[in-house]
Amino acid sequence: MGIKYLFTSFLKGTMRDKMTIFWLILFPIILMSILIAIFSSFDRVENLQLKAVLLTNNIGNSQIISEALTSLDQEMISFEVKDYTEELLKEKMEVLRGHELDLIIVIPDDFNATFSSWLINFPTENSPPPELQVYYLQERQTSNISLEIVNSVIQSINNNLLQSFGFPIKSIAVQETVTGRMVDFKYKDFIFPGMLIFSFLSTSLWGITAEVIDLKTTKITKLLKLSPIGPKEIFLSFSASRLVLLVIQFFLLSAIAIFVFNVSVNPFNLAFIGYLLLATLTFLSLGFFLAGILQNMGQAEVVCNLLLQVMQFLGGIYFDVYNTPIFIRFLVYINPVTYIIGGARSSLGIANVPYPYYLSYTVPLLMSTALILLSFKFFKWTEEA
Amino acid sequence: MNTFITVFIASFKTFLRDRLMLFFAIMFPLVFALMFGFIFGGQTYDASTIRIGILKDNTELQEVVTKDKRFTVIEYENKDILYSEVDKGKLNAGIIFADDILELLLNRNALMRMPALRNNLTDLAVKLGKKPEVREMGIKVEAIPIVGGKIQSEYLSYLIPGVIAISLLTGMFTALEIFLGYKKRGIIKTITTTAANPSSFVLGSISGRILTSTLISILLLLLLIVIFRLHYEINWPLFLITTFLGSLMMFSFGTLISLFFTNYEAANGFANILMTLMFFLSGVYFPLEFLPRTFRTIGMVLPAYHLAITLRMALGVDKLIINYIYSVFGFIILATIVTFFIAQRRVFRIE
Repeated sequence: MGIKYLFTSFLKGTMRDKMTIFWLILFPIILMSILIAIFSSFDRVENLQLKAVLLTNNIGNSQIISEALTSLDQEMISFEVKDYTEELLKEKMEVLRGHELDLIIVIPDDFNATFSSWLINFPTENSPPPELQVYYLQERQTSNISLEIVNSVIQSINNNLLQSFGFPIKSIAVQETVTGRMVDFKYKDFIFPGMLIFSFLSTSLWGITAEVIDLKTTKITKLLKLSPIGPKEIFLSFSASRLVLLVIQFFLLSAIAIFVFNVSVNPFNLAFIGYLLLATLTFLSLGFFLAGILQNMGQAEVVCNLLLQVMQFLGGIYFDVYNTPIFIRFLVYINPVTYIIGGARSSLGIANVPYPYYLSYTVPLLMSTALILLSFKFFKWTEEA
Repeated sequence: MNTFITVFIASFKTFLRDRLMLFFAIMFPLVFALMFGFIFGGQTYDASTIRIGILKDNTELQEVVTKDKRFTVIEYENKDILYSEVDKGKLNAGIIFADDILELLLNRNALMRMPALRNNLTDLAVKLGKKPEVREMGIKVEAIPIVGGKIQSEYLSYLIPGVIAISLLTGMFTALEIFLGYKKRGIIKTITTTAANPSSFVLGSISGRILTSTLISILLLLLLIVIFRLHYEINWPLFLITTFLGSLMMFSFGTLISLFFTNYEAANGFANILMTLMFFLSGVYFPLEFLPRTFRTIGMVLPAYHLAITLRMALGVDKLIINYIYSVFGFIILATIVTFFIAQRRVFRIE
């Protein structure tokens, strides 16, 4: 009877707190919506609307280059063709530096002469090859991509030239396979399990660690201890109220993912449910362990915030983090989220893991066992006990 | 005037003595710079950033990819191991070239981190179509990197001004605390019952917090320069004015939010959603050009985007555009005057 009453009061207390509801239930939904909207087309470089300028005096052979570049897909890269002058180049370089342009291509005035001389002497090495100058900003990704596109176009022109000299040019077919078992993979399928794990982790850190410390510092647990209710009952009723929160998070996030975003993974996949249970065990034990070692809300806020940020970003919730530099990778591999999310995604057929698969469940199991043992040693419902 | 100075100093001292706040103000931007610097860093092609796997006996492919500075090439004995390594994410991609077919095996997670990966690899087909002896023949492209600002910057030096801009966003929460949190706790009501001028109290609190925020930005910049051994040509007056006005702008933004909410918690929640949006749409961690057009537009309207650009100009990373700076500063000053005028009247009216 005591447990039931306490469970209801813990649950009601949480559900009545607007901030808790916002952070633990609404925020993961909002974050998932933002991420899906923003990154759904991140894996394809299309419609970038890159801007380039071609400075040429269009003499003779330089027209080949102009025509090839200006015939490119305008949605991808648009070329403005201008007559080459030193002044205009300087002006356009300022525009490039101001990020209103991604690339400047200069066909020098001597290009036509060099090209003709090179053609006459071809294939001997008696004359230098004709050269284009391409100005770009090294730190800007769009500038680098534009440079790649121009390189690719020039390679194709070279192929055509060589072919006209009788050199055989083969047409190479490109076949592409993207790893993972899902055929039509989208970012929303990747992020959905991540957001579930994120919301479980938030519940552990804010719904357990911070809440228990709050109960302790406001002396509520001390009062409870004076009542006939024992620590075991408090623990069971409190944990049960958190489990209800997790169940609400699971159903709500899954419903929105499936019905609103049309996510194609099955959240009721047994192996996936297994990983969610493992996440529950690991994060609950982490929450109670931290509640045992942290003294006040000030400490809890710092530790919970820092752990939440580091564990979510370096656990691979949003992006793959397996190939980070060695000292960051160390943080990746001591993070239980890495194994849980890796196993969860693998169980859904989204992506496999770079370490032996059994580590996906053994590492979190070992970590939670250690955390449970440490919690037994350090956790107290009252500050004095 | 006395109230203003006393509260200003008190507000400044409170922040410096609050180790928790100091920790948040410095540690969080540092952690984010470290994480994003290493997760997304190196996507410009000044280093061998794409990890690809090929087969040992694929000599023709080997010759093409090993000469390409974009790739770090690892060789494998057989196809199965190569596939497995890509599948597990140890490689960004695997490439096999046989019978005039270029087979690309792309790691799904790498594709999401490196939007240009697919294009970089398909380009290899053009080179492989030629015989090795004529592969380098033809028109040459001389790629000339130009300096955007005063220094030749790389991803990390480009990222850091943005990280500082993001750290200024927390000014929103300070405004909410003063306009809604203080009210909730009855602080402003208490002040109105004393001889102190409530306006001086609010202005003193705001000024103290803004000064602190500016000092934190300087400290953060110096720390990041030391940790990452970066070189900047810092225009200190511009940097200081930008961080000061940036804090002021975020404060105005927070003040605007407080006008629409009467509940402190609800306002905080809304500010957090805005902060998340600005975090992803500021163009600091992910180039805006890669995002859908609607989000590009939203990102350009949000203040974090412009703060990041102005700070890049102040650190010599981007070209200094005086007219742009005047527009940004002019807008901030105008918006601040208007919002403070409205907000101050409203705060005391409600009290």
